[in-house]
Amino acid sequence: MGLETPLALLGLLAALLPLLAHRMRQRELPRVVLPTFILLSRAHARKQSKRSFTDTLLLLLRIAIVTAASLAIAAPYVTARLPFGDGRVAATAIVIDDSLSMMRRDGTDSLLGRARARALAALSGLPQGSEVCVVLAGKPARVLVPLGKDLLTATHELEVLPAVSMRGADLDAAVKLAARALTATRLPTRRVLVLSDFARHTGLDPASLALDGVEVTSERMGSAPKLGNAFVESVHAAPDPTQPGHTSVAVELAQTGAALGSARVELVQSGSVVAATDTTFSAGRARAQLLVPTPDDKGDQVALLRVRVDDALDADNQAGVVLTRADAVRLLLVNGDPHPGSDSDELYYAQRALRLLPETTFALATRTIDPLLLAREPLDATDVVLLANVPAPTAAVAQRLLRFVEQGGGLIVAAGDHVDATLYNAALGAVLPSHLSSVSATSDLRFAAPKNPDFLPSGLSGLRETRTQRRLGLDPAAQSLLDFDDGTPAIAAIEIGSGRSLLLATSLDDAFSDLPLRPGFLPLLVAMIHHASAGAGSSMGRVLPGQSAEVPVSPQSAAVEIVDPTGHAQRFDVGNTQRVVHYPATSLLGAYQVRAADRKTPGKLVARGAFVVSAPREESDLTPGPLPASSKRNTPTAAGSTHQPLGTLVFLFAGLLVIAEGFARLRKRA
Amino acid sequence: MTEPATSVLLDQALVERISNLRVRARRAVDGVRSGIHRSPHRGASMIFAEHRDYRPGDDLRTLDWRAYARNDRYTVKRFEQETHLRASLLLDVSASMAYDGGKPETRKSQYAASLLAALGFILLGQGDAVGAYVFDSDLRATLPARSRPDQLDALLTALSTAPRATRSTTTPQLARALGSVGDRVGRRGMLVLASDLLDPDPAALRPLSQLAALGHEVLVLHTLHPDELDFPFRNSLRFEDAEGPDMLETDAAAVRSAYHEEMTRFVDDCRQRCISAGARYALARTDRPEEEVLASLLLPGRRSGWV
Repeated sequence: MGLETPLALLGLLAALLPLLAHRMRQRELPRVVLPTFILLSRAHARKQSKRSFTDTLLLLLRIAIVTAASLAIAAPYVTARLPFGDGRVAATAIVIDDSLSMMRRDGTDSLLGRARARALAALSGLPQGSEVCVVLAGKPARVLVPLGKDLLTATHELEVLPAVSMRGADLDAAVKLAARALTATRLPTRRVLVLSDFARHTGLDPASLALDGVEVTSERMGSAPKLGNAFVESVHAAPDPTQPGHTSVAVELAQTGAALGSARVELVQSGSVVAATDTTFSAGRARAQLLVPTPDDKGDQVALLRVRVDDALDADNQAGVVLTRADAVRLLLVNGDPHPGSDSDELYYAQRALRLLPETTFALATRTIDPLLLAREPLDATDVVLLANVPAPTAAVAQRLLRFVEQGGGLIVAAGDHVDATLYNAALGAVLPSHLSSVSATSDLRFAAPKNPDFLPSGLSGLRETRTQRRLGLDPAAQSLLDFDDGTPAIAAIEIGSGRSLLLATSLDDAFSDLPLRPGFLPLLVAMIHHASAGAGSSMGRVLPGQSAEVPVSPQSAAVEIVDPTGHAQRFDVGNTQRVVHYPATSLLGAYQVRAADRKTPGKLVARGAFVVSAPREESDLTPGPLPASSKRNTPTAAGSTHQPLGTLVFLFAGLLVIAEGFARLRKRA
Repeated sequence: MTEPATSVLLDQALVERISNLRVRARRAVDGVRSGIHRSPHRGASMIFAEHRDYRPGDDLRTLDWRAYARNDRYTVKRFEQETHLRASLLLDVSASMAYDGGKPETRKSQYAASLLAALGFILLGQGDAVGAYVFDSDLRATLPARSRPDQLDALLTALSTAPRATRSTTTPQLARALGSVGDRVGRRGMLVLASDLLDPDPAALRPLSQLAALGHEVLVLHTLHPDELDFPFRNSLRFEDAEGPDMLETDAAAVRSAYHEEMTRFVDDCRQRCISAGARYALARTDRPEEEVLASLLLPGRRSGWV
């Protein structure tokens, strides 16, 4: 605090004027000889206390008026410490870490709330003419407020910044984004303020803060957590073989930091706890198993797993659970082997391989029938029919298969001893992708490099080592997904109507080749099923908050509706050739249900799958990491100060005193 | 050539304004000569008083023969006696009565003297005897009651006695002065006191009840200056006691309302004490014409200010 013109304080001597006037008035009072003096003295005695108070008040008020006026002329000011910067006009980028770990509560507010308040304080301290931009470091890093001089807009955007975020952190990218934004300014001073918990998992590269010509300030939000932190390591739901009609949910918990005791695991469906159990952490891990009735087609196919434990971060104590995969590809395996169940079973290898298929990669609901039952099998609930070494079907069955494919179904025909080329051409010629020739022997024929990387991604070790001794002859002119190295098709495909038909020139067992014994067998099998089902059933993989979910749609779908964990639904119309819907609103943890409407009945939505948005696991590690060094010129302790003038306030105060003096005078006269 | 003091108290204009006024005692008074006032003694006047049984020794002229003829009983008629009045005019000339508020014509002592002089003029004109007692803490002038033709001049001279000084250090002793007057006035008559009644002694007015008990008709002219009643002062002033060494510095505006309350209480208290003592009370503001005060006293229909 100080004074711009201290000499004006000499005016304080004028404060003696009311005192002198008071004394002088007392000395020179006019005399009045009053006969009724006794009455006056009684009246005076009654008024004495009130009058003395009023007189004293008046005297003090007048002294205060003179003092305040003198002080106002002296132009007082207070020295205010700036919340950020040194008071100079500068371009400032504020980086706010809005990752999941910033949801930790520290005191009465979350770390994200603290960061927002700190950013608002920094904004309020910027002088007019400054430029500011705000970058959010939750993955993916993004610009909240582009660089500009509109500080009010920036303030408003910060004030309405959502208080909840489940994203991962990408401080490096955010700082780079901020630095890039600052390149657009013409102001000589450029600053970056990074507000984060700087937990160990952020892994901020100190080199990324060494920005040329930019002063970087790092401020850690909150103190180190005192409690350990539990999080959901994995949740797996599968039909329980010991309890028909029930689904077993296996939960694995992990923790970081100080050791935790017990936790209660609850499974919540539609707001109600349907199963719960207690578990205890041991060596940083805990397991629990819950058993719930398997929901039917009309039931709620998703649930929320909630962990009740006294830990540092509450936001990661939940996970979405998909109890049944409504989007699983319904694969009908038609086993042409006359002796199913034996080691020489046509589907011996295929069934075992598909059983190993992780549901997170590709969901399959398989059913195996005898060829004789195909005629009666309702194909409405089937996506793909795989004929494994099946004798040529009857004309009626062939007609059903043709209609099935035309309406969007998938058909895979695998070669074998029972596949008679002539009969097949006659029965299924309209639905097969190639005219068939009879089985012929080859000498260790191998697969050529896949033509279509979408069909068979690279890295399928062993597939090209497959040795084929016998094969079904396919038309070289047919559309081929995979060739033998002699150029003839190994897998031919064709689109018929809304569906697809594939033809594998070799068998699924080891009768024609050693394909089932190769590591690439399962990926090839999945690729064929995936292709035949036109992409349905493929997993969306692990979806992280903030990432856009790629929701596959079947060719029959006219519209897709996605329901988030809060029950909010968003509808997407699907084009004829569209096979994926991009869903960006994945900010919440939990299970998102997917419903689809067929083109025949566009108004009827049926469950067609679900996906889970999981918390980034690294965000659950709250161990503080090192605080990146700030630029020397702009460390928090070296923040500048400014003079806040108080003259106007003191003048106003003097005015109020004048009004009060007037009231006191009126009171005295009354 | 200076005007005689007597003409200040009773000038021709005032004499003309009071020429039609008469003083009648409300109570019976003792007198040695016949006059216009009621006497407590029964006499030969034309005013019938009462009947009473005849007792031996009664004047047979008072026997009511008509009553004897009607009821065969001896009764006598009694008539009121009318006599002349002995009026004593009491003027307070204590220091407090010297206040004039800067206007000599409103000086309290002079105004009170004018009232008493006019009253004496009327009484002497009716043939009544008028005396005067001028006092402050003691009797300062005494004029025995007479009805001689030169009594008016003597009365005016006695009433012209001025207060001693502007400020006095002696405490007013109204009770003692009234007691002294009571000892001197003798038989029943009329006592008219003109004073501001400013005496800190709570028993100052007690002699009034004693005088009334003796049969005197007591009138009190409570003489106050407009400044005392209205307290028109402004700003801060140093007030000094007219009858003591005390002084007080205060803002007149600040104490005005409280002073008015004290004054109202004081006047009401004086009025109540006078009435309790059997006296008649009138508030006489010195800015009010004298004839108004006297008319309200003497005319039965105009009692404004009189109790």
